[in-house]
This record gives sequence, structure tokens and C-alpha cells, in this order.
Amino acid sequence: MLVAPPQSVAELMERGIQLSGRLVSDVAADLDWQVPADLRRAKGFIGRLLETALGAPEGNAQAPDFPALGVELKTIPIRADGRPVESTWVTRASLHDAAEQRWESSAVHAKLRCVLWIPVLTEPGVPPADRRIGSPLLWRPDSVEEAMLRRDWHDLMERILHGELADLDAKVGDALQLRPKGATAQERTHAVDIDGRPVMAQARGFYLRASFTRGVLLRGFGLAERSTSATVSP
Amino acid sequence: MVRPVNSSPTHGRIRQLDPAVANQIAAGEVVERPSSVVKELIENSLDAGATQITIRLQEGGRVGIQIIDDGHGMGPSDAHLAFARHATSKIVDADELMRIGTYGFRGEALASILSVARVVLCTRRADDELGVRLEGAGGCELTARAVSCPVGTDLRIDDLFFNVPARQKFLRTAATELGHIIRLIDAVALAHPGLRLELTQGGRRICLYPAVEGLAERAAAVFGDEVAPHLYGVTGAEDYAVDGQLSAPSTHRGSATGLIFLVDGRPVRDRTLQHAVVQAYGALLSSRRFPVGVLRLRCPPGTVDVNVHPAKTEVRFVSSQAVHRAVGRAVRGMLIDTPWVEREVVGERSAPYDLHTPSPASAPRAPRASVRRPSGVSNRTNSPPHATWRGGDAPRQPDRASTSPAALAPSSLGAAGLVPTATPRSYAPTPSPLIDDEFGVSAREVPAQTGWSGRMCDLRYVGQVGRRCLVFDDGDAMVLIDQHAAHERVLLDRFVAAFQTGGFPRQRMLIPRVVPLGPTASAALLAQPELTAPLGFELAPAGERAVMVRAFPDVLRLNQVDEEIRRLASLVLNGDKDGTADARDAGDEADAGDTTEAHDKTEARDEGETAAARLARAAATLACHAAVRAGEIVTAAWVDGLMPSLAGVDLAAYCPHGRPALSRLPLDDIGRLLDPS
Repeated sequence: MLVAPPQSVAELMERGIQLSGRLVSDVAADLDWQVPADLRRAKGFIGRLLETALGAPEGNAQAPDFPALGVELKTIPIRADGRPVESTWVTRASLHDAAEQRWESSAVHAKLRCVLWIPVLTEPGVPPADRRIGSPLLWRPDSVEEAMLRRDWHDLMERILHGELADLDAKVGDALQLRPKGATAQERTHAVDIDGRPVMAQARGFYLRASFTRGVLLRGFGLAERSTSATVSP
Repeated sequence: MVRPVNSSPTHGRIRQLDPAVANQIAAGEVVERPSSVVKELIENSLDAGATQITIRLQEGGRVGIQIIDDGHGMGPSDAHLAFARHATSKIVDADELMRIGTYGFRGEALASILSVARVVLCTRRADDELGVRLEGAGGCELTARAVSCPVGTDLRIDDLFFNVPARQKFLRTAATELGHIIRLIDAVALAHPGLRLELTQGGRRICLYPAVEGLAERAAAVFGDEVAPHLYGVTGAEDYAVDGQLSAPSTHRGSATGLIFLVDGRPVRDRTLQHAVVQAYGALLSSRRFPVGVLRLRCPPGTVDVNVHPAKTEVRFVSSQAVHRAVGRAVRGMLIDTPWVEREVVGERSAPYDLHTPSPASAPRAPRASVRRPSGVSNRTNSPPHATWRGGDAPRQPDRASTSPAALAPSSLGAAGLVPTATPRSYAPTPSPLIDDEFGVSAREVPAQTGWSGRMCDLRYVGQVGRRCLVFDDGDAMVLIDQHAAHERVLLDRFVAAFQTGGFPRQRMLIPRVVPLGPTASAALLAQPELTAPLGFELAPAGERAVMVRAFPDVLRLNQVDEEIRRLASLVLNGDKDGTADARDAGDEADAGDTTEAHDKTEARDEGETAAARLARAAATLACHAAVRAGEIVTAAWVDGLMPSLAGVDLAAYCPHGRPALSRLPLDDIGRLLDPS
């Protein structure tokens, strides 16, 4: 079943609200999809399911999921206390032409300029079909978040530029980190070594740290100040 | 044509009644029971200019009633004529009926009484040397003779209904009939504070109301020590002049018998007046509770018809709407304008303080007659009246920035005991939104009130006591504010304001929550978005036996959401007053039984209670549950967020349930506690 692309951000949000609270199996049934029993062999299934349910067109990896609206869809698995289970994939990193890239025209910036976050409750032992979809949150980085992302991106790109891939691990970056993409960990791509010579290196991608996305959710749902009162737990 | 079976061919069945029988029938409308006799005779005495009336009863008036007044009395011919039906000195033509200035006017009372009882009348005018004594029974001719008697009228009625046994059977016990008469005397006493009234039965005095100057004193005497300290003055001057003394919301009764209405000095029963008063109290009173007190209405000439019923206890207003409005505003004004609930500390302390409590002689309390005072003025002569308070008339200073919802979030927890403030602070009020409130009275229409908000501005926060009470210093007194009640009042105010602007601020759930309910409860709740949405709930179906909560009012804590949803479901299903029933059970029961019947019940309740009233009730309950509770520590910063909002709301002195939210203990009283000498 095909869902027409939303004509506006408001329509997209309304679709997200209508999905919220439903089980993954319910949404899959609407689309005649089968929910795999184990997502380790079907990574990204829930993301693709929700993209389809929301009417995302087929797109390219460097553009937002809803290009006409400039909105990227990000599903984010969270625990019942609102803590993200894992870091969030953003996009592949280009390792061979770092000198040509600018933050403003980068794929990371394009992807994170406006994100529709959809949390999915992911508890250990709960099969994928029984995971509950959360409320949508339309997020645009505020100035602080934007600055943090830009700083991390520049830092990471500088290291890529200088061929410091060997020393570049997931510990670098406060909001953004660079690490091999789980599903394609063995994939090799063009890069530059420390002497400036082209080499083949392990493909990597940009991820948002779970601590950063937790802050986004807390602020976006107005839970930050409530949580400090010790009277509200998400 | 059908001919009656036993009709005589020569005489018709319809015949003119004997005048005595006709009088007895007519008497039934005027003389229903002893209290109606007393009422008619007191009205005659009042019309005769009496300043003192004594009522003596035997067995609640069943056996004997005697009314003695010091009015201007009657001459022999007038006295005779007074017992003729439709003979009166009070009106001449029908035009005068709409501008009656006397209590009686129908000319029926004495004729009716004479037709069903034994009557002895002694009366004398001041200019006459001798009075006249008339005696008669059962409507027969009166016998008259000259007698020596005081100026005024002394009328004795014995053996009421002696000649109408059927009527006599309907009389209740002496105690019941006495109760009716006492209520009547109370009403008359309230209508005429300058009148001396005495009631005795079998030689024993039941009550004595000495002449007093004002309604406040008389109301204190009538309603007694228990109620008197809680009465406040009501005034209103629109087309209809309104005044009275009504109880604080904390003093109420289960029936409206403690609520006395006087229209142009006449005690009446009137639904419009009662409705206006109860509606003005609104959520301050629980359902089926009524305030206590008296309300007097003075109508412009020609706007009220008192000739509705022979007993004259009912009136008809030309414009009930105008009357309702005038009364509602006056009562609401009183509720807004008398926020300070002063406690009698001295003399009311229990054991631990008894040693320091001054004896009544050393610390005399105001005599009862002086207990009542004009609205907002202390009854203690040694306590400064509100008018002298600093900042009492300070203009309201809007400060919206300080009233963000975040400012009202519950406290940072962790501190303990008394939480002092480093620097004195005052609180500029946030004006209450100018909206038509749930009582139908627009805040902008309420006359400007005296310095309630000004007083609030002058408060200096001292700290929290017992994790329950906020303590302030206003310079002349210690002010105690119940943290839960005050917060609850502010939250309710926000709810009411939010209803006008599209709904209460809501908190979207990160992961929508599924709340199990019975199928009927779920369906009923989902069918009521007009109730749930303005409160801040966003609900969706979640199977047949649950609802999904996507958003909830931002004042609630997450762990309260399930319970509140069940309460709302219970409210929708059962009209449950406090929403205490478990909707899951209620729904299950309804589903296990007759679902149709449950739906019918819901519909019936829907008809009985307007959506607005139910929403207001739900909001009040929600505000109560969301408010900070006793036992929670609040910080000075939290208090700083609360107070401007509290200063800006009406009725800040009461929680939405009508309980006092604050008390003011004057320094003089505190001083006497500390140093009785």
C-alpha cells in the first residue's frame, strides 16, 4: 500500500500523531508488511516502515527523507524512562574530499536542519511487533545545538582531512561522532592517509550521540525542567 | 345529554354556598397552619407601626396564639370592619397592587382566621380613653364591649380549626409547628432589625430579639455564635438594591433553610434568588450544600408583584434576569472582597497553650452584637481595619513574565524544615483574565474591589512550616497560606482562563500511554472530547477496553495520568462527584450488566448537568490533584512563582472547594499569646 507524500509539515505532523501510541504490528498490518521477529537481520525495518506509513518518497541517501518539506525522519528507540537505546545514524561520511566540504552544504547539516523524531519504545524482551510508537517531535536545532554540531563536524572533518582515521574513534565529538556503520562494517571506501596518499579505509558514518538525542527529546517534550523537580519522570 | 342519576327534576345540583362555608374554604388558602396565622398577624402589627411585638403560643399555636403589639390600634368601627372579608385600610384600587407599601392588603386574614378559630381582640388607639374588645368564633357575629387596655392591639386565637376537623388532622406536632413559627420569627427579625420581637410558649421564652440598629447585629443574633463569625456583608446597588449577610463558603448546610430572602421586607421563597446565590458561590460550595444567611432585595416600584398567592410568600419579578444578575454580582462581590479569614487565636487554643491563654476577663472578646462588621473590617477593636493596611489600595501591577507555567512547577525537593528567604519580597499580582467565569459573572463587571491584591503585594515571605503552610509577614500580622489550597486556586484559575483560549497547556507523551478501562467507560470517555480536550488531554482509541493518552495537562505528573483518566471516565459514566469510583470497575459492571441502561444513565446525567458545569467540576478536581500537596517542601523560588498568580485571582482566600486557604493572625493576638499579662 502506498501512502501519498504529505503536502505540508503540519500534515506530516498530524500523520505522526495518528501513528503515535500504535504498535509496530498495527502499522505493518495497515501496509501489509510482515514484521521480522529479529531486527538484527533487518536493521532499519522500523525506520522504513514509518517512512512508508508517513508517505516518504523514495529518495537519495544525502537528502532529507521528505525533500519537498526539508524534513528528515528519524526513528529513535527509547526505554520507558525516555533514554535513547543507541546512537542515531545520520549519514555516511565522505572520507576522500574533506577539503571540499562545508558545513552549510554538508549532508549532515542537510539531514539535521529539520528532523521529525519518532521515538519507539524498545524494551528488552519485547518483540519488534509489540513495540509502541511514540509521539512525533519536529526538531530544528537551536543555536546552542547548531553550534555544537558544527563544532563537532569541523573537528571530525579536520581529522579526516589530515588522514587521522586510525586515531579517530567514537569518543571524539560531544554531539556528533564518527564510527563504522554497523550493517556495513566491512565495507571499504576511498580515504586519505596521514601523508595525504589515497587509501582504502573502513567506511564510516556520522552518528548523533544518545546523550545528545536524549537532551533533544527532553527539551522537545518539555521534560527538562519537569525532571529537575523530581516529580516527573518521562 | 346525560342526566345525573340522583338529580332532582326540580332543583339543580349547583347551589350557592353558605357564606360561613365559603369563608372556611377561603381560609384554607390564607390560614394553612399556626405559623400562617402568626405571619398574618405580625404583618398587621407591622402595618400598624408596631415597634414591639410579643407572640405567645400554646402547643406550637395549635391550642392558642396571642400577638401583642404597640401599634396604633383601631377604633371600634375599624375593629369591627377588620373582620369583614376584603375589608382593608391598605389599598383602594388595583393600581396600587404593584406599589404596595404595606405587608397586608388583601383584607382576608382576620376574616379567614375568625372563620376557623375562636378570636378575642382588644385594641385601643392612643387618643381613645377606652379600647374595644371583640370576641367571636367560627365566623359568627362578633360581640363587642368597651375595655380598658394598653395602646396597640392584643389578638388571641384559640382552638385553631376547631370547626374544621379535617384541617385539624393535618396539623403536625407542637414541636413541628413551633419550628415553623420560629423560622418565621427569625425572618421577620431579619427584615426589621429595629423591631423588638419576643416569642414564648407555655410561659417559657423561646427567643427574644431586642431592637438593634443594623442587619449585621440582627443576623448575628438570629444565626447564633456558630455561624455569626463567618457571616460577611453583601451589598449591591443596581436597579435592585441588594444587601445582606451571607456565610463564608466554609459555613454551609445541607438544605436552603438557612438561607432567608426578604423582598421589600417580606420573607419569600423564590427560586430565582436562591439560584442566583448558589450560582455565585459556584464551585466554592459542594453540590447540594447551601450558604447560610439573609439577603434583602429592595425593588423599584412596579417591578415586583407580591399578589401571587394569598400567603404572600411568593413574588413574581418583572425581570427575573435582572434580579438574578443583581444578586449574583452582589454575592460574588462579597466573596471576592472578603478574602481574609481571621482566626480567633486568643481563647481558642487548646491544651498546650492554655496556660498562656488570657482569661475571658483579661481578653474580652467582642460582644456578639458587635461580632458582625462591614465587609472586610475586623471585628476586633484592637485590630487595625483593612483600610489602614499598607498598600491596601495599591494598583495592580501586571507582571505576566513571572507567571509562566514553569514558575508554578512544584518545588525543587530536598531542603527540610523552615525554608527562609534571604530578602523581603513583595508580589505584584497577575491580573485574573477578564473572562466570563464559570459562574456566569464577568470579572470585568464585578465592581472594583478593595485592596486584596494590594495586601498580597505587601506580604513578605518568611518560610514554610510543617511542609504545609507558607508563612508571611504583612507588617501588622502573620499571614498563613495553605500551600495546597493556594496552588489549587491558581491552577483552577489557569484552567478557567485556558478554557477561553482553546484549552489548557498540554504535555505530549513521549510514548503515548494506554490506560485500561472498561469498554463502556472507554467509549464514553472518547465520546467526550469537549470535556477532555479543554483540560489538556488528547485521547485516542486503544482497542475496546482502553484509551490511549497522547497528551495530558502540563500541571499533572506522569504518574497521576492513569488515575485522572479513570476519574474522568467515572465522571462521564457515573457523574461521580469526586470521581472516586474506579471507572474500570464501573465500566466493567456496566458492561457486565445492561450496557444500554448504562448509556441511558449517562444520557440522563448529561441532561441534568450542563457540559460547562461538568467541565468546571472536572477542572476543579484536576487542579486539586495537580496542586502541590501538604508534605511537600517548596522553595522560596516556587513561592515567588505562586504569589503573583495568587494575588491576581479572585477568591484567592478559598480553595476551589470553599475551604479557607489563608488566615491572618494579628500581631496583637500573637502578643497576647506570648505575654498574657
